[in-house]
Amino acid sequence: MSVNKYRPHILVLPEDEATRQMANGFYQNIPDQRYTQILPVAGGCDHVVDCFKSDYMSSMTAYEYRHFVLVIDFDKRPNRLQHIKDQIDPNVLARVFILGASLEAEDLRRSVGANLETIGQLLAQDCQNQTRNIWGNALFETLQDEIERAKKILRPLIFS
Amino acid sequence: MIQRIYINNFKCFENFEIKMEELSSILMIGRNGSGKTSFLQAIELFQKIGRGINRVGELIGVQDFSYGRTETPMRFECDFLIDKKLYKYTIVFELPKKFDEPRIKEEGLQLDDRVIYSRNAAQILLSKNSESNATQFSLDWHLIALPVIHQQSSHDPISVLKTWLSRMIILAPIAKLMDGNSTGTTLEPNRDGTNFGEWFTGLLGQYPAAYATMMSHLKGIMSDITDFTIEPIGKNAKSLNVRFSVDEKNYFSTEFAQLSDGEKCFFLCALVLAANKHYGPLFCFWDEPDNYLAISEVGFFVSALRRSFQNGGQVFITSHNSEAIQKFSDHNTFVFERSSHLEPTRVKMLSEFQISGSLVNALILGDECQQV
Repeated sequence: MSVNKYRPHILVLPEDEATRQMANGFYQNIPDQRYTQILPVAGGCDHVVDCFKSDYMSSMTAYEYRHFVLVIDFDKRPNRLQHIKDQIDPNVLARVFILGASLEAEDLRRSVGANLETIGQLLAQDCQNQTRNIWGNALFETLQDEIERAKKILRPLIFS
Repeated sequence: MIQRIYINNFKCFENFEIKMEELSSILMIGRNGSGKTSFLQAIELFQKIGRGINRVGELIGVQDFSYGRTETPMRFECDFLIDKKLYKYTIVFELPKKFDEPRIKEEGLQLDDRVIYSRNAAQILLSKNSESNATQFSLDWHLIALPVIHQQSSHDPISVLKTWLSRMIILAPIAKLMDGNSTGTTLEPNRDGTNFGEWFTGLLGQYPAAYATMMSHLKGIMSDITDFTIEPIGKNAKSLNVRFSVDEKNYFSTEFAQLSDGEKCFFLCALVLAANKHYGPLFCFWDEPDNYLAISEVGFFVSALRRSFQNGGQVFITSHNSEAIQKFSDHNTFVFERSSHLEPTRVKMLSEFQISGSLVNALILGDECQQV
């Protein structure tokens, strides 16, 4: 079942297998899966942006309820967030969110001490319970503004 | 849930062990002929024993010994975790020369390392328990003991295990054969889904609240579904009809048999979810649940199964479908491998492979084995 394009929905584009598995764990633990869909992995950070621009950006204009989450590794490059945002159509940018760890998902796995799916599950629980057990991890520190923006806009769509 | 299985000398399995520990959902992938369906057949053997089939010849035949090697015993060991207690069941078959039918060489059940019964050939020793002293008796070598040992009560370990085994759901449905008709009720679905109607009426008869669970799932997929009815079509025979809304006041009704193959699988999935919720936790093994489904349906379908079993029960899935595969992760995906038809099946967790790039691309290229 595809998401209903005419109601608020979220498409998740993971960079690689690791970020996909985190997204899976999150997806398995949200109240209603019908409004969220995880797309096939893009195959690298640059590919995420290219893939989004070529395959999905125009659909953001066509479907006003569409929201996008690009899940990437920041690989210790905090300016990557702005670099990606600069490539996205300003008219849809408010509905696009770029989330990920400041290093790699594998570093998050080591830091939390759990498999990637479980980390995704814990992130979903944080959102549901409005806690910061995992979202407060140092590996998310440089991304707090983007996380706060996602909490404000996406959290009500997923958890209410 | 199943925690561990050991199989030796059955079909393509030699000294084969797989440990699931406490994983609630598991994906099995591998090339055609790697042994996934044979693994299903091995698990189905336990289900059949639980459902009362006790004649060895009805469970295995000469052709099931690996490469016709009948001089070696065929061994199955399975560890089940039921209500936080560990049941270890072992059964060993042999086929002596000049015998036509395999027979039991060894059988036994342990509960948390306490022997419930043990068997050597025809001799069975039932251990002493709180209600009776140790008992020894003989049984025909061609009969399995588990289904025939008298149970003291429904809390008896033998009874608990048999009930659990009998309720295992093993599915490789043939949608064309699922017509929704029934002449009775059951909580024991067939592998091919042909007794869907009986299971449906059996579930709703014993657990009416299952209706709401099923409808909640079905409405998420088919927004125009209104309800379903069970109509008598003859003496002791009933037919399942499904109604869809036309507008606020009108609906049209269709026989279940007239639904598409994929839609029938939506119903089957709804039944699995309801069964696990209302008389579970259950074990479910669904061989290629993505068969018959549109690609846009696969992800939600598989995720719904995973989600249902997350808080109780266990689901095994096999698949070649990229959408289904991507709903699992490294730690709950097992890769079945077999180098040739002369070699046995080996299994590894996906996390033991170093795959650079996309898993699906590696599978398409058949590169997963090279990248260990």
